[in-house]
Amino acid sequence: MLDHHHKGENMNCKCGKELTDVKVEIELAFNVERLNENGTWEPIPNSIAAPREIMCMDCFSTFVDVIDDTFNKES
Amino acid sequence: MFRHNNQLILKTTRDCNLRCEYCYIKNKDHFKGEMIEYNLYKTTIDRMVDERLSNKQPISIIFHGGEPTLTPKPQFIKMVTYAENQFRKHGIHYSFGMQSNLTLIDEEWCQILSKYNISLGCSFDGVGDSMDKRTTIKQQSFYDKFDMLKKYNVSFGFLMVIHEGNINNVMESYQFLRNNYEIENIKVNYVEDINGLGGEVNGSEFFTKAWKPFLDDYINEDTPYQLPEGNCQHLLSKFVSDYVMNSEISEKSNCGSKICGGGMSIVEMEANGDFQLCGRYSGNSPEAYIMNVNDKDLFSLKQLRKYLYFINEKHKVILDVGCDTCLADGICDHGCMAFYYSKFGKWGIRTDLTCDIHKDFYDYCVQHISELLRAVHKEIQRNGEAKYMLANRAINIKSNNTPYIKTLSKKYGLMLELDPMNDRSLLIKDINKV
Repeated sequence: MLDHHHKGENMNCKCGKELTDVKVEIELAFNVERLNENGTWEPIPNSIAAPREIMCMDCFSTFVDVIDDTFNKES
Repeated sequence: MFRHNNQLILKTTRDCNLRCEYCYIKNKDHFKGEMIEYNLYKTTIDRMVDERLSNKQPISIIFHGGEPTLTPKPQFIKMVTYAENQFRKHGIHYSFGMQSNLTLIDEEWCQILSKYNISLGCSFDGVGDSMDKRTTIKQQSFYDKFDMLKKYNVSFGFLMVIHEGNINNVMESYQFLRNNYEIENIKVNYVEDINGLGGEVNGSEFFTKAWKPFLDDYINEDTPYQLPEGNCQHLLSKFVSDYVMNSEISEKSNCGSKICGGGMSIVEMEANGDFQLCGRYSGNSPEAYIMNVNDKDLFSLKQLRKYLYFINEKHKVILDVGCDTCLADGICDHGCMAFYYSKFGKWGIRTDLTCDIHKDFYDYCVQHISELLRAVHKEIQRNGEAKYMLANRAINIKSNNTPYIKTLSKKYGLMLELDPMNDRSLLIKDINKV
């Protein structure tokens, strides 16, 4: 199904639920550099990306839980 | 899969009616009769539209293969029409292209290509017996196709793949196309013998016979000329960024940058919906596989992870080869990991080919930098000023005491300036008109 991100049109979360009350828009800034032989961080222009998703509150909550489980475990 | 790319290589089939010796698709007999299903294609376009609603950059779809003209014409028309309608409905700028061996092109295909503004990339190895490594079809048959394309106003260009069978008639072939079909631009690529059948030309010979003649003509003061070969145009821009300017690496190039955009800025889809980093991977290589068009991918994270994996492998290869400290590092295409993997089953680059080609190119440009900048000015100047697009973002012009700066000034009456309006543009100005 197509997600329509235009104002006024019905919007759906990736889970299928229609977004009627609150929507969460998340954009990730992705950029990779490599350490070259000269000891300099060299940019990789093809790696620059800013993927964006819109999700419902429930999916956002799940997303946060996944991040939390992955990165915030007590060692 | 479609958030970050500007080009989709869509293989409607891996089947082909030819068996060119140097083709990177192996085991073509295995794919006999393969054809993309319309519903899968529709899913692809729908996904593209969905993922590009927040990215209004133009997208190009290149119909590829195998041989894409094996696609039944009614299906092809249906496919192109659907994509057009969806893109226009959602305000997505688009263009269509096709790469073909021309053998199946007829008047109907010409009408389709013309109607839908599909630019055709023609594989043509040159005059004489150059095409013998590809087909037994007579040369005249291809010339008849060119005439047909012109008759129907199809936009077309040529790609020449150089091997030992055509290395000696590159310029003759280009001049034939220019004089008979008004072709102004061409791309001349070197072949890598991934099938082990021989026919490769070594790097130095390739530069000397395939690219150098175009450069020589370009700097010849008596020739009212342009630089028609696409690789030379690109490399020259990279050279000027590297040699003349202090610059920041900013070029996003699908194919030809230090770490190519395969899997990010350019993606390839097989007829079964599988995405690969690049169409040059032969066979179903797990290393090149990204996902299927039916797979979900939040934030395109799986795609990003795959591309990051590729970056890391290329990084290791670059360190192993020593590219970072090479004189030609700023212009080199650093080899094709896809071709290397297809031939050897592991990551690497063909230093025996890549290094000589680009080092020779770099040396040539160093020796002829003044003439090259004069030729650029001659080609593109308007009212005495040429705005030359650089591959990378310019910080400033390197030391003004270099010999070529003096030569430009004294011999050609030209000076260099950064364009204050665009940090990717170098101004080459006629001193007398400043």
